Amino acid sequence: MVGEEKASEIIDFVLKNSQAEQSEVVIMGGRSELTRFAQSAVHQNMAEDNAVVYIKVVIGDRVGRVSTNKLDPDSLKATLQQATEQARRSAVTPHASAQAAPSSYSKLDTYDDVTAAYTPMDRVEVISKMAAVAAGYGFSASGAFTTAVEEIAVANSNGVYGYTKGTVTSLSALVASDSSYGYADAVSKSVGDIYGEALARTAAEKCLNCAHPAEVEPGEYDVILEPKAVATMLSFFASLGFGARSYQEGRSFVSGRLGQQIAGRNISLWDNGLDERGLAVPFDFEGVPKQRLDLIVDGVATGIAYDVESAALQGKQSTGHALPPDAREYTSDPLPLNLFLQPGDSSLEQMIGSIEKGLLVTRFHYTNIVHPLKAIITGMTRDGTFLIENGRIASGVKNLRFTQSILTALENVDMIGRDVSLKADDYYGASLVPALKIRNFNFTGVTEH
Amino acid sequence: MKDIAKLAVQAAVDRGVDYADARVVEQKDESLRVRNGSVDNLSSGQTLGFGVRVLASGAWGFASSSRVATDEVPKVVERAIGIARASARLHPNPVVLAPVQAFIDSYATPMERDPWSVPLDEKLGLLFEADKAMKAVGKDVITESSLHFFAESKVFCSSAGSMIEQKICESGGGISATAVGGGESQQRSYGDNYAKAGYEWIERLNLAEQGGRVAGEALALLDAKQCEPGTTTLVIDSAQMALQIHESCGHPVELDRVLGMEASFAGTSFLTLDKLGKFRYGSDIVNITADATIPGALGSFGYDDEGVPAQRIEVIKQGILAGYLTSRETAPVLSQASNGTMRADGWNRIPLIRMTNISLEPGEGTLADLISGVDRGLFISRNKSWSIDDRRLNFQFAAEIGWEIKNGRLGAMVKNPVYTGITPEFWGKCDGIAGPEEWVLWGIPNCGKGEPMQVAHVGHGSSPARFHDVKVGVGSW
Repeated sequence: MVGEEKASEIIDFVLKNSQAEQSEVVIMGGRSELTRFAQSAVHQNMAEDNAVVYIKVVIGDRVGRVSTNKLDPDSLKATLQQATEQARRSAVTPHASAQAAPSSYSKLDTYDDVTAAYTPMDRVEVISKMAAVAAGYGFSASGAFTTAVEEIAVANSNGVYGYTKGTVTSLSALVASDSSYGYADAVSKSVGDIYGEALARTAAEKCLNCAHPAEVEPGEYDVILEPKAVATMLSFFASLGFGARSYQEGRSFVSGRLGQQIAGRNISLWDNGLDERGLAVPFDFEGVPKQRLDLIVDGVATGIAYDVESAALQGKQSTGHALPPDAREYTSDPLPLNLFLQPGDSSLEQMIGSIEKGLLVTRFHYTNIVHPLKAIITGMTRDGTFLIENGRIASGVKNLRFTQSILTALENVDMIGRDVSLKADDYYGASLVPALKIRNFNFTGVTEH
Repeated sequence: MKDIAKLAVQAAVDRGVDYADARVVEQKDESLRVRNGSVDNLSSGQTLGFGVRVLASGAWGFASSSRVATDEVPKVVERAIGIARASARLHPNPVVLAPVQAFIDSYATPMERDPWSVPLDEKLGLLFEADKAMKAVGKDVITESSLHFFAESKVFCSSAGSMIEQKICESGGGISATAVGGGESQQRSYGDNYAKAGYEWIERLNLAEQGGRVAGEALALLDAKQCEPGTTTLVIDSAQMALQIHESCGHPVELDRVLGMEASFAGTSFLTLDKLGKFRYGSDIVNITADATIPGALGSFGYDDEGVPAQRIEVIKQGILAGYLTSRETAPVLSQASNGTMRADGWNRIPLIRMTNISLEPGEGTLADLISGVDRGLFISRNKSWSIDDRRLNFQFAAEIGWEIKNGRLGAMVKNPVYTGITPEFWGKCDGIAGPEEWVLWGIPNCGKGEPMQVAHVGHGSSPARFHDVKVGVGSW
């Protein structure tokens, strides 16, 4: 990482030396450390320090984008020259000249000194205690413990300038017996919020209760999805439905249905990068201030995520959802990445107690899209799938495959948890969500463990 | 670059580590995408840095930096050693490495035309031509055409005495058309195939020639019949077979997965050590190899990131589990030397066991022969969706398109062909593999594994293959 002073110097240097009509600079830096453990031993342990400068230049409606992690003046000049040359020789990108305007940004509490100063030995000490918890059950522990400092600087030739620095930490605990697994995890900006032994204990209890799992037939079941599984489902839901490009092109299930009921009346979902209960950030990767964007209010689709370019294309305003510059290689669709699902008033015990015969899912595995427009996804359950009978957990069960429309699932939510948990996405961002009880969730297969 | 790598290894050795290696890596990439007649992305990037991996007190430490300078080396080495000492606090069984020969060598991807020497106009022109070909068939079809190029210059130095330089170049591209209408969306694509080669690979893909067919089939799928649920004989084209091999064979034979090292994230494997040499993975005609020496294949290289030469091994032999992908740390479990599959996706990542080119060896006959032997069945083409459980047993995959087979001939087009199975049961039902003339090598540039996520570039060769009694048409439509 480079720090704000150096980031500011780099930005000034690039903007002053640019001969393009418009220029934009994004710096993504960080210092990240990760300790992985398996079978109660540390087997991978690493650290990295990096900063990448992304330069975008616009000449007319032609764009060049080049990045480098070589930060000396000659390399930056060469990178700028390359971007300019690309723009000169490229073809038209509609509305490429749209640019964010200068704004003031919210001051957010995103940085934790203790997390930033955390050492490999600190992490191993926590993991050792987790291994001891697992050993107390006669089990072993696996997982990963990350501590990182991340920085983002954004500026453009229109006067936008923003710098933010934050910490992030995540810890996962997979506890294994001879016949079963249990899982728990946590993510936060602060290691003070991460309780390794508690996570290990939760995972160990799941593992214990899931020992020698029974096999249940695939079919439609009432299901309780714990927050980790809910976060996975909603992450797919948000990316399939609420990006401006997908919406405009008719590839989204919201296309033509904005203002209409698309989920149960008990579902309200929004995105808010400013909410410090999530992984907050004051602005997006074009320098547009983050804001709350209501996606679903009482089951009605209400919002679409825009970045500057897609907003210009559709005559809208950016909602502050531009993705990191390196995402452009894969998609030009802006996405909501800081999801919040309105909690309800049910405890997990009440949910379990309400089910005559159903399943409880700890988390999903290898979830993927089957049909984007119908929001059908498939995936497996893992690390703690339980049969509920007559209002009680009856036994662990072998993992099941589901093939389910998320739209249908969100029409069938009977109960919503009162407690929420922050769960990290595989890509970027995190979701603060409760557990859900859903009717008729479609399990289409079963595996051998 | 060599000086930095050598300095780092020497500094670590001077500090008394058991083993050290250093990689100095410079990578560059270029991506171009034309979407609906306009440039949607034109971007390029470069990254340079070095990483130092040490084995100290019997445990691993790794540190890296983007500042490639002699005064940075001692700091990174010190950090790596500190991390290893921390690892050793919870590492009851010291790491034992399989022996490796020292190599002073270099390797370079053979190529005819350096992609970075090709004018931008020519690359964009090719994409616009492909886009136009698709739009000519359906102006409302959402079209995408893309090219990607990747180059890597890497120096590997180890305390085992190796100093290896490698220069890699990769090229790939593809087109896709998405049709939307009547509450349905359907996609067809072509290409998306990558090779360790120069721009000549792109020219051979002939993207524009396929544009009309791709767009036409996307539109036709809107009105095609839904794949009916049931159990049937499935003939799978080479492209979908690549995905089938990747997920249900390539990952489960990674020995780190087998040993539980990826348990908390990607999962483990059903191919446990007790199964080696005796477990029936598939029918007698199923022979699968891992071969990092195939010229031009995306998973080929000179040496892995532990300095072990690229090699070819048998993974499945006549249907029986015959071998695993190994590393210097894991191979001793089998009393073997490493077979050279450790790769990192950059200077800031540790190497992991990664697939090379995992291929189903060809059988005999043609695709037409496979189809002609089916009374009622389904022929499917190109992957659309993939999911498999954490031990790689229960899979569910979907192809972009299918056609009914009736009395040995292709019939009506079918949309959303989803199929599912349990890996060894499925491969046990393989009763036909087409011959070498139908064998295609696919380069897949996006194999994810590890924490932090690393993306490997791997290859899979296959001819079309036939499987009986496969469950299809899963889900509520």
